[in-house]
Amino acid sequence: MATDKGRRAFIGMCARMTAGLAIAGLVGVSVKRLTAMKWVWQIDPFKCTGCGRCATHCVQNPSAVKCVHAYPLCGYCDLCGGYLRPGYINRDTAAENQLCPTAAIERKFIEEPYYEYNINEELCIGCAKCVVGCAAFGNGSLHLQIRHNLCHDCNQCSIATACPSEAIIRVPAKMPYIIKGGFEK
Amino acid sequence: MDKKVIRIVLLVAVVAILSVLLIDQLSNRAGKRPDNPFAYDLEGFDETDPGLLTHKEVMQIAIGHEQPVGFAYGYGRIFLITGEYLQVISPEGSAILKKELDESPTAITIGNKKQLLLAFDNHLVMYDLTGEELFRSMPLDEKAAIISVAFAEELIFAADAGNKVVRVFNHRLEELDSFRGTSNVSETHGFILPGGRFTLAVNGDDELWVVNPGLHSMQLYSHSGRLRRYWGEASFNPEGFSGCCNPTHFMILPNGDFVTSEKGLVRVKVHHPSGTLKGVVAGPESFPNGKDAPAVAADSEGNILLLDFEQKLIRIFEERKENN
Ligand code: SF4
Ligand code: SF4
Ligand code: SF4
Repeated sequence: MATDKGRRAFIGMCARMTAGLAIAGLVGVSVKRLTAMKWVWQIDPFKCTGCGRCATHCVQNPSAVKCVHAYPLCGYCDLCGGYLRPGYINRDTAAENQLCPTAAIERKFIEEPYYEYNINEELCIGCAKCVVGCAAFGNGSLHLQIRHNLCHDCNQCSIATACPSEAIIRVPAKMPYIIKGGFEK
Repeated sequence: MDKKVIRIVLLVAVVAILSVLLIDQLSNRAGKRPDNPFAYDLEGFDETDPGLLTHKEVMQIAIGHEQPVGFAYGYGRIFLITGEYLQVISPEGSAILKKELDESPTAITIGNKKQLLLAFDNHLVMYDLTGEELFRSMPLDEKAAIISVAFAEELIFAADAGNKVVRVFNHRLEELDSFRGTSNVSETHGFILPGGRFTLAVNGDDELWVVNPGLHSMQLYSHSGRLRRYWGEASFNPEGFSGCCNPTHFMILPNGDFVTSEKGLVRVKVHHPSGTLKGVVAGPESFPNGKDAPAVAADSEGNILLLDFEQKLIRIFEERKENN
């Protein structure tokens, strides 16, 4: 009897130890995964107020911040608040009618009365002028994002330090963009 | 005290003061930010020509911290909907009724038989003026988003921004019809809603006017949905409508004049029934830093009431004497 009891206690102890080790292992793996997760800088477009510092405070010149276009949100408007400057003379592509300081937005006629707007990222300096115009007059489909093919992923993003809206945050590298309602065409 | 100690104390104090000044200089706080070289500039459109101003602000009513959704004026009272409540307020600003609603209302209007009509995204509910329910519509489809409602003599019109249609109901809230503003015999394109803004109103002649914001157009429809007339032009100048979702709100005065309200370049204007500009009730200077268009109503004395969503105020504008 005494031997049976001892054996049962021993088996019980082994089972508890195995369960304990398994839980500890699981916790260890999860902690490792979490700490190993890579993070990158990104702009929360819902916090950005378009202050212009993304153009002037990035260590890259031109900035790694670019305007992106959420096509599913866009109204494809003729009078686009992000494309035309308030005192435009004609609603066309003439330079004097454009709001963008670098003519980085391309306007394409689709069918009456719809126009499509595409961003030429090589020209865009991330100044947010169009973002402010689109948010005020349209529905905010134009917004800024840090482009990860251009960003150095600095330890401390110098725009984040200067951003008055605390709009620059860390996001998992697996999901590096915060796009308003999708931006595929 | 030893001179050396005094010197050290003074030195530490100077360093501390200089550090505070330097930190303040470099800080991000408002008023310390350098000018934005890319600032969006309204280039003179943010000031109204004083000769165009037809009204002046005479009173403001604070409506508390709840987010306002819409309002209407009738029977000597202001009917206001906020996130969860229907509120009735006297023109002087005192609370008469505050009724909690089961859902969040999205639009409000008043009928001439003492009915109060509220929209709730996908259905309508009619109340009497004390908030007792009279009729309720069947729920509409999931996409429905009713954001404006108006009474006609025999019918009720509801602007469904989700489906881009005007829905037609009888006064018992039974749905009879709907139309999209399209036509195969003219140049109309249906309702174009770039920003989900969609407003309608019925004038004293029982005519239905609907904003087609993508076309910056005020459109007159027959009750069966045939386009009969329209006016409006896209422009940042006061004669037209700016941006791509304007006018965001409008109402029709008893004399047929239109009161329109625009977002972006926030301004409220009066247009003659033909569409020509009559004057400006409140220009962008009345909405410093404002972006959202106020909702509009008028009281029995002809004052224009604005529901300022950003400042959470009802603002009352009286016609300037020199206009009379
Ligand atoms: S610094 Fe911040 S607020 Fe300014 S444009 Fe960049 S993200 Fe927007
Ligand atoms: S206005 Fe500024 S942010 Fe917009 S596309 Fe042009 S450069 Fe880029
Ligand atoms: S992390 Fe560096 S490179 Fe990337 S946006 Fe910020 S400042 Fe520019």
